[in-house]
Amino acid sequence: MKLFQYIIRRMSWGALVLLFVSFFSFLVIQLPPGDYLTSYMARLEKSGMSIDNASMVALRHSYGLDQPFLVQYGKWFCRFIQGDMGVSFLYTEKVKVIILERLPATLLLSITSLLVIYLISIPIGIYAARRQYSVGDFLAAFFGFIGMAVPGFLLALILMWIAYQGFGVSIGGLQSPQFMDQPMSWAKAIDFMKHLPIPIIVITMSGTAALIRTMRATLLDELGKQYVTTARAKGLRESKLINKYPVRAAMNPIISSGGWLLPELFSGETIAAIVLGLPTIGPLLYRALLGEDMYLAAGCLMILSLLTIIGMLISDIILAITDPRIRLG
Amino acid sequence: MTGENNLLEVKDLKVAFNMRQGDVTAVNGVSFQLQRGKVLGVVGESGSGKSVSARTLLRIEAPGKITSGEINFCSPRHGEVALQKMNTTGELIRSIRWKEIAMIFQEPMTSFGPMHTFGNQITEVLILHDKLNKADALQKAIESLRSVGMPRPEKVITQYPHQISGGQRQRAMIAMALACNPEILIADEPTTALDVSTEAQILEVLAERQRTLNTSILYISHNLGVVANIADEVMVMYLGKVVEHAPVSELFSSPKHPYTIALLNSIPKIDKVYNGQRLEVLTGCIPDPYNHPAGCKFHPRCPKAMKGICEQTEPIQQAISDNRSVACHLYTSSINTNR
Repeated sequence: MKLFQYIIRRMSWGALVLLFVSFFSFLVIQLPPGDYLTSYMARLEKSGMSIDNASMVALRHSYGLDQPFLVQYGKWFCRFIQGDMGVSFLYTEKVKVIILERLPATLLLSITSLLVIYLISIPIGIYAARRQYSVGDFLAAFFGFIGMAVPGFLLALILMWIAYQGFGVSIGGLQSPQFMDQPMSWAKAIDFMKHLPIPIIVITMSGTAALIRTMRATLLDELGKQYVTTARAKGLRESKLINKYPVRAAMNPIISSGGWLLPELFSGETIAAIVLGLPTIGPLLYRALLGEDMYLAAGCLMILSLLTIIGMLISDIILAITDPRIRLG
Repeated sequence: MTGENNLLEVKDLKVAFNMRQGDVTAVNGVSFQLQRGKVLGVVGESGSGKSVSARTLLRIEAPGKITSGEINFCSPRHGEVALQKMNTTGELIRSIRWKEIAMIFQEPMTSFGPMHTFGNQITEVLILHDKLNKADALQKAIESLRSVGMPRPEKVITQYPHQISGGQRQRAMIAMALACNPEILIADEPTTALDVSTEAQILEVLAERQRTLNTSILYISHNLGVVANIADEVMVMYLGKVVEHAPVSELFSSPKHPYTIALLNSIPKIDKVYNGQRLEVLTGCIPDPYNHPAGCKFHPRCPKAMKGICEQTEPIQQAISDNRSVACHLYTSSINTNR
């Protein structure tokens, strides 16, 4: 019952946060001088065409860009909560359609990446803490720091080159061109699986490295605590007592890190996604911001925030379930 | 092992820690015997090696290492065993831990894991050592909690450490330590963090256990008053060495070692008229662990230090009667022939 109340409370906070995010992201998008039409006009002038002022004003009026900020925001927000995210200037298509098209790939990549990060970093972190200053610990630290230091796009380029030279896998995207518009088949699924490793490696690299350090540090902290000695004095087997007591306690920051890892994955993959040509929301947001396509940008930001808030909520709920001090404290 | 009733015999035990700044010998040649059904009090300042000695009996001295000495234990199931030779993660020592030698730790706040209920943590030892099933173990855990005076034990086994007070937690710790009926109970300053009335109740629980089940207790404390209450014999430690070992009444009525005398003098006495006179205190503090003084380690603080003797040679522990021993040049008759 307490847990249920906790979830309700967290969800209402989440809704409030979303409201703030919507306002501020709308505000930030509006901050640079000019609007979609100015950048549109610049592009037209570059290509030698020009547009007279009267039709500019007419266009601006028809887009609603001549209205004050708060009015624009209010109109957009009222439509947003009804499920209408407006129309993208750049793509001249509904923002919802564009985002929904890219949402599955984004979710798939982010969630797989999150799982991969956990699966790799937790065991390595435990190993490194239990064998502090051993060769394995130093190796983990060495590769961990390299993973943190190498920029994702560089890694992406290197891996793409290796994949192309060594394995003949086509570069970029999540599927080979010949499967693009085909229905789902085994061959397509296998082709898709072949394309998955590189983006996953690029996206997870720095997160994994960071989480190994976190896991190691927290577990080292816990290993020195009295209750570990108590468990040892009780005659439990070393591996059993370590997994039951200190690892369980050290998992807390790891679980809550799920909350901040998710937005990092969404935004962190943008550059890698551009290099790799991945059909995710990151590059879409990037293009929308460059072109001052405010409805598309706001839509992307709202979806990313929503996913982040859901991620945080899930990690908080898991935390409340696993840690009695949070659940009952 | 000498003596019929000896349950545990420690001979010249040395435990060292490899620290970055150098080696620290925390226990430096400690010898004692623990008899069945007796309470041996261990007294000393912080850093005197009491806790490390106790932990070494369970072989949880890591990161310390036994550098020499023997720990012979009369195990009811394994016969006479040499604990110092055992692999610290091996099957044998794990079967002795808690089942035959259990320990109450000093910090009730942190000695239970924070994420598991008391029921889980107490039944764990019963399932492991006494091979009970979950339901029986839970029943036994409740009984054990009740036997140490824990109110509402049925509720406590469903609770987590952060939900009950320090005194109650220490009670739960004692219940857990006594759950498997160990031969030896090591109590490492079990009441230090508690208030005086809780302390008295906990001492009573321990004394009763020793009377009814003939459990031997190694009671570590820096509080001489508590030790006077519960112990049969007292061992006074200073810088990793035993400086005096005596039956409790004799130690309090006629202390021999200047360190023991100083410790006793630093306790305010209720029947003494002080008349504005200050309470005697032990001057100085424990020396740097990396750089012990030569000769008798106590000589820089000793009011009776003899020049030319005490800073030159280290006194050895010598029997001064059947059941007393002291390590001090004041009582060493052969000192002049040694030099």
